[in-house]
Amino acid sequence: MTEQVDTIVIGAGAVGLAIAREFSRNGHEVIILESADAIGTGISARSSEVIHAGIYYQSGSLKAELCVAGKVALYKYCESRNIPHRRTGKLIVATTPEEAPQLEPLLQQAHANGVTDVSYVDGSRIADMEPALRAEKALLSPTTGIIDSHSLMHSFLGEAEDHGARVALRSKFRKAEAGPNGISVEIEIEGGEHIKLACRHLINAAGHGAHEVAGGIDGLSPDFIPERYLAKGTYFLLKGPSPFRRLIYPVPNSAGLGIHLTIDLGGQARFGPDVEWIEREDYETNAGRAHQFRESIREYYPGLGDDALLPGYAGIRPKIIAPGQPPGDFVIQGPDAHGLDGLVNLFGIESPGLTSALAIAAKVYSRLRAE
Amino acid sequence: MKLLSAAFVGLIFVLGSTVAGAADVGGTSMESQLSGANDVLFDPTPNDDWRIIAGAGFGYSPDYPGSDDFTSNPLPLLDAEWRRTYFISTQRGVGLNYFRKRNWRAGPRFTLDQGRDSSGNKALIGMPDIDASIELGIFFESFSGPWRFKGDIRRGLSNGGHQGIVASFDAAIGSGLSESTNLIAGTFFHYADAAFSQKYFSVRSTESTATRSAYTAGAGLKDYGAYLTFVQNISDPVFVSASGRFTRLVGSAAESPLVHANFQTALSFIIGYRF
Repeated sequence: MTEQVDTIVIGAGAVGLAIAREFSRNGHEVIILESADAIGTGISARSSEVIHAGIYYQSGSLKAELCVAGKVALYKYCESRNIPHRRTGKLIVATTPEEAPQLEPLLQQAHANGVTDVSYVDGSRIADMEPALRAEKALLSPTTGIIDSHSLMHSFLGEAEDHGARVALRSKFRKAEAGPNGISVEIEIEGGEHIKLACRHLINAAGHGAHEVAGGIDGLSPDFIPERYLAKGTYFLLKGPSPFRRLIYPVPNSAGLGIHLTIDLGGQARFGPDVEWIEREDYETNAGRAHQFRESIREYYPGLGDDALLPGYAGIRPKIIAPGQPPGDFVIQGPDAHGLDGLVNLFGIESPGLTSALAIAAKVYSRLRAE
Repeated sequence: MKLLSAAFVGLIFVLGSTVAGAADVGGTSMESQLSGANDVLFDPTPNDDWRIIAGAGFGYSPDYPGSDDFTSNPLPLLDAEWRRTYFISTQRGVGLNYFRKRNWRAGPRFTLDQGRDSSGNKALIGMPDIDASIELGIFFESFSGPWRFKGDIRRGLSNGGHQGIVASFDAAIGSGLSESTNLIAGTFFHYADAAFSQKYFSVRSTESTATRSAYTAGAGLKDYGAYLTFVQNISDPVFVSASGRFTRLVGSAAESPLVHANFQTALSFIIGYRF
């Protein structure tokens, strides 16, 4: 006899947990499957932990919509539940006169996305705000902030569990097929035993594993599974106290936001991530990249010492767009797209996924509720 | 009379240091929980083959060495010695007083490093568990008036657990506050080699995250600290004890991103029975 549950969420990262919370608090019985032995060990554990304002993303994109909505929801959530966070503000800096014109499209994009509090800061005011910073001109985003992502994820899980959700660690999705009683899911649990669960809703929020999960769903056309690309980003820590109070970003490049400076809630400054396209998941921190980091960082922080960088950690962006292509959008693929009732696949949930988590959860819930 | 006085000090250490270490930081090591049980100076039952102390209590200590979260645990207490030679103890391990003189003793022993459970503390998410490890070491203990000195050096033997070397030194003084109340004050330090330090305090780059950077711990002084123990004899065989242990992590261990509090406090309460 196959046990029946209402909703299975695959992946216990920030997005999966937010979805589990959303469904459970709306009265659904939820099981969260996580292949690792703890929640939040993948993409969510290796981000910059920044609450993004929603500046960069193309108008009309899911990233723009969900980042801006998610930011508002996230601040409200953190404030009401005492999740450690801080509105640090952020400066996007043009370090040369030649770079300065690149700020204007960003400002226009921010305003188009509804982030209307972004404004120009000139060189003299920058010197007052951040004396260690070299910049010709900058954009100030006052609503950018930082967050303790693990506290957030534990809060999501706690609320989900309060509403009856259960998390199954060391439980790997193996395959699924749609049938008359919903979706039948085969799971490998600890010890190698396989069990089956039937569910009405299956939500694939497996991060880097989302493509493999989707590939195991019988009846889902491969046409709906995008290519998977991995863009590794390494972070270095700054020895000593942070010279900046705000987050400092260079003007973005084609693959990311550039090697920026963020500060964690303990005051530790860190630089990164860079972009390194890789074939397999590999979290080794390559200390040899410090030289390239120093060159990039000194563009806006000339006071960086020769031995001031310490290897920090590495994260991997789950890209669905090939190197050299314009930035892709989140893909939230519901029954309206692929035709399988009750199934939602999430692909390419890279930055600003953490900021957008609550809004993504609401979007997924509304997609399935509309069935 | 002199022997009785020394015997009294010995008894204080039997009871006191047993409890002093009972809530060691993180519950990681039995080493600093070693009893000062010493029947070289004090033998309350010279005609008996066995001398046994048993009891139970609870401790309140950090989740793991360096944690700023605390947990409470039950603390069993057993310290049994046969013919002043062989001992088995929840605090001292299993060993042999191979050298026994009037004021000191030394010998080999096995102890247990309890390892670290990485589940249940968000600071350790994604870190591997450290299995318990059997340790083989040599120890010494000596008494001089109200003073007791002890130390050991030991190596972890178990796969999955630590396989490093740890050395310790401890000096303590005991005195009677009244006929039934005794006080012990002690100080200690630990040295750990690179293998031990890396097992407990390193973060491999594949384990590093936004809240836990890669880090390689090295050999050196690991911690120092002090403890204070009150022992109250309720009746002849029954005693209760309360102890506070204060540990300062230093050096390479203290710099680890796994360490969220360099200053560690552990408390313990025990009720025991001397057979």
